[in-house]
Amino acid sequence: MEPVLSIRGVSKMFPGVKALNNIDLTIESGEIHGIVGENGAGKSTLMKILSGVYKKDTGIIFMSGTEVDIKSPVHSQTLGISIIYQEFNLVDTLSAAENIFLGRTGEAGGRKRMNDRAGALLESIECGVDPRRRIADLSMSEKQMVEIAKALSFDSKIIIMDEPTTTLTGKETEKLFAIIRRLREKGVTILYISHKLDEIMELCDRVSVMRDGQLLGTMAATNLDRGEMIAMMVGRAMDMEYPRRESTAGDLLMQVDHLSTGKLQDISFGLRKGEILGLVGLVGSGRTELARAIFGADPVHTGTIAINGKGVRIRSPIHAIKAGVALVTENRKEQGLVLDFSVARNITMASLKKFSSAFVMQSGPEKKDVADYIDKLAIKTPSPLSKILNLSGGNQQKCVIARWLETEPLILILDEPTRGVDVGAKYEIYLIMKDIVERGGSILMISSELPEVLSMSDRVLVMRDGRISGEFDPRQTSREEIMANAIG
Amino acid sequence: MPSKAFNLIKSQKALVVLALLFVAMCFASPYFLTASNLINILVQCSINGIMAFGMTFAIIGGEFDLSIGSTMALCGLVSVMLQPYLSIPMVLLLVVAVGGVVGLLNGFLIAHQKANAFIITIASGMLVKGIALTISDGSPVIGSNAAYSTIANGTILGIPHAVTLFFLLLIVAQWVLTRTAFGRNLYAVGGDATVAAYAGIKVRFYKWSIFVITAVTAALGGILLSSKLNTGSPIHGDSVPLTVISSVVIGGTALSGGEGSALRTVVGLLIFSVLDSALNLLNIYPYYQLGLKGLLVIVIVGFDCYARNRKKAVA
Amino acid sequence: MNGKIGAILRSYGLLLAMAALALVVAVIQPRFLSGDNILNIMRQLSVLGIVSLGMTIIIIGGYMDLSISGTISLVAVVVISMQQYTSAALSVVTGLVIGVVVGIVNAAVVLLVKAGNGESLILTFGMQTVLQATALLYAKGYSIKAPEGSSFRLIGQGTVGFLASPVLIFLALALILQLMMSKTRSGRSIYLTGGNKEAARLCGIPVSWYIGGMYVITGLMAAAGAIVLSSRTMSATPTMGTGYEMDAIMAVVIGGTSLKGGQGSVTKTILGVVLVGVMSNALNIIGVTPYMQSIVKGMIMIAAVWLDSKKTGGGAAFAKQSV
Repeated sequence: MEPVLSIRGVSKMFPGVKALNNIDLTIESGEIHGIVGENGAGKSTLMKILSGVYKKDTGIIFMSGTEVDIKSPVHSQTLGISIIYQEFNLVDTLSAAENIFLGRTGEAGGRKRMNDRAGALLESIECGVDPRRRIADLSMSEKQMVEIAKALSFDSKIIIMDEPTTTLTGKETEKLFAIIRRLREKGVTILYISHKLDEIMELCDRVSVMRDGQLLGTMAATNLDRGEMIAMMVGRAMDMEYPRRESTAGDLLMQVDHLSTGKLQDISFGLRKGEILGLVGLVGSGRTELARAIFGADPVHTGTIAINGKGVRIRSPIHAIKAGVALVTENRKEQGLVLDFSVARNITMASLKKFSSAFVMQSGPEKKDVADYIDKLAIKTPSPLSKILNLSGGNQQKCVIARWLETEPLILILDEPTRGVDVGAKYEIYLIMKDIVERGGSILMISSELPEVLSMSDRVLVMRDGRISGEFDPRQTSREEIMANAIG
Repeated sequence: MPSKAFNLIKSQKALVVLALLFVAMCFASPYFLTASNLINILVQCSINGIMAFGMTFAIIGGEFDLSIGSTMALCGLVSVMLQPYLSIPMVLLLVVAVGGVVGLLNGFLIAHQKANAFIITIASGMLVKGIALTISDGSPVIGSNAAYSTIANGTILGIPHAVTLFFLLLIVAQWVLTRTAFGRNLYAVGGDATVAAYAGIKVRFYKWSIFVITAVTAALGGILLSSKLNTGSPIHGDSVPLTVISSVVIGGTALSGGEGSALRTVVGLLIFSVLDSALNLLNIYPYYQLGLKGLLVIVIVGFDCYARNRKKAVA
Repeated sequence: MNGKIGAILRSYGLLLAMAALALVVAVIQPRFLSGDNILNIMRQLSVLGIVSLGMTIIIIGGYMDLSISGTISLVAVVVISMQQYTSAALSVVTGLVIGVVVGIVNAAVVLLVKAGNGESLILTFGMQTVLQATALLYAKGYSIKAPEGSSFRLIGQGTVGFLASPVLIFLALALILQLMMSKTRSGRSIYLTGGNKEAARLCGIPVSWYIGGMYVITGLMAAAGAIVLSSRTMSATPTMGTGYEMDAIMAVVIGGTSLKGGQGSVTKTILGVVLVGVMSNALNIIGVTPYMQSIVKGMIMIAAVWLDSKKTGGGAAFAKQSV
């Protein structure tokens, strides 16, 4: 049987960068094919060529034996390729049905027929969402279902999924996997892009590894070895994904007692000096809310926080910074970075008082500190004055961390510190974390990647439904045990 | 049961405000509930209303047009000034064409060249008003053709043409928005232009159409007003753009685009018209009227914004 | 090569075009470049200049203030009419206080409803209507004259050396604000607030205070402009401020400050104001009617915004992240 997709010699150049270099890839019909690689490896460029957003420079693409020239997103959909982006491609103000048939209202028939057809598509993937509901009112998982239904409405032969589980809970991920397997039974081919190697290993029939615009190889599921995959992705054998570290935990630094907000219920825990405290839980369990409450980003809460024995009143970020607390938020693009500004301005913006005397900014000390941090944290940027927009995700994240280190905090809260960061930069960030606690700082680390939390933390707290449901020693506990506690 | 009623009130805020105003006025003045007053309210409403329908399309599509006041004035002037030379149907055709040209210009700059709609339409408004002032030398021009004033003032079954046209356009606008592909795609473009483009919707065409629609409805408004008064004047449109936008927003069409309807706009228009009538009947000094309108805008837009943000925070 | 020339044209094209126009006018009417006329231009653009300084800051901060025309009208009638009862000095102080109060009220409303850029536009427009109505009510629709011989005239009609006082006031305020924006922590904070309000807040910048400050400065500048304006003619009409808000926005945009927020500068606005002033004067000198000037103003503004959007790649009526 002809492979459903055959890519031969495809290359793509952008100004100054060869994004794809002579890619040869064969996808068999009805397989779940994983694609892994660091950020910048070329995965997203390849997918955008398949979905008609970019045009390839060279090479040929065959679908089921016939050569195709994919001209536009709409064209790729009519050819049978659908792509589900990480941020979803939906119009919030319209209903699910209207989104499924976006731009095809003629085909869809009248409003009633459109709703009926949409309902049928959703039911075929066991999704009970009313097709007339607005996208803005749906959960992330439900939105994803709408995207899948949209793909099915085109009778897609190939569905590309880009990091589909980033915002899903464990249960929702299982549901998604079940749907994907059922789609495979129906003969649909899935291209599954993900950073989460465990999911890849669980779900995929074959996996292709990309690095620096090249396809390094394709392996069958039975031959998958995690270490080997990482080595191929990174280009060197990583003996350790995580730096080895002795525990440096000391006396109690911060004590939180009976913290409650709308979502949080009676949270109490302690954080020690020189400790990395991990915080895990399903999406929606309240981890980010806890971080924001401690940091004063959300002002309303009851309960007490004491640092070094003294009670502190934190009702705004200003109080928090003064008390020695810092927060690296989970979405740097919206809440962390001022994208149009330079690296230097982004780094100094939380400690303006430090660089000013009597309201006047002192550029000398500012420049020096910025240069220091760029050096210390190995931030790759052409110059401190470059727009931070142009840096890679990993380097942007390092800038945010530098910004908070500038405030000389006692406690650094990291919310998903390595999200959207490639494997190489991840390691560098872990090293930075190690350095911070070895110098006596404390870190509260929120992460959805269990391996990361378990390897880096001295202690792990599990949250569930706004409460702390358990405390574990990561060296003595298995991932399954922690997951079980998180699910409840 | 009570929460259901509360939700209904929340979603139809404008209608509730209108109902309250109406009832209050019935008690406040004996002249309010008379046929002549109500017809007056409707006529007042109609001219702004026709332009408000055009603006509804614009706001749903994620844009807005501040040049409609000037376009209205210019078209009213041109139509009066051409009367001695051409037949009325020709004049009307030409005037609508003038509106179309303004719309095409705005559309080119905003949809094609992607310039900022707010500033561009202020600037084009300035330009058009300048043209209006120049050709009229700053003074109003009186119409010379008696038949012209029947366009707005003539009646069918006792209802002035202006009002009839208003209701006709309401039906057309609502139908286009809810039952045609154009309407559905317009909501998509206003809701998220990038997603709409990805789905193959020609965003540029829709944005361009928006400005042609607003300009043509402004031309119609200009014709009706100059017909009603039998006079064209360069200052006719001065407070129009923001009154019209305020009516649309007060009626419940969100400034962020992607939602709303012609029916909601009618509610907003009626609120303004009832208020105008009320203030006149109660003999409230006109300057107070101005101030009250401004206050109303602040209160309603502010409340809408506040409610929207509270919903976001809870979610 | 083409790209480079294109970039230069985009950045300086408008400037070059206006310089060319000025040259043409100078040839037609040599009086244009006379010292007298230049001083005249500077005097005439001072009021718009002062008002535009405030507008610059609020735009950099990511917000909008359309109420300044109402503030100007109100302050003008109050300041002039008060002089029948009290000293010029007290009247001036009252006028400035009104500007501050208006700014505080604007900021309060914007902060209370958590308005974004787009909503602040409509809210301040509502405020403009309220202020304009207040001015009309206060003056009962009439224009007011200041008492003869009042020292008030020194503000608008006095000179220091060869410079007219209005120009001096404008330049002094411009210098103060430019230094504030470029060299102080407050200025940096305002830029950051305009760049990404939430990120700035999370970095401990007291964003609400700065929003308040921005609106107060804008109101204060509007009041100052009203004082200079009414002092020039020693009279005030209750609709004196009409059109200033649009002209101020035009000056800011022509000068090169983007409506997006987080960028631009006071210096750029000075350039914009000068261009607008020179243009108005040039058109006056060659006898273009005020009506035609509207046409020209409109065309220039369109050209300026068109070029700006080509530089930055354009933007929708309301930036989605602000609303």
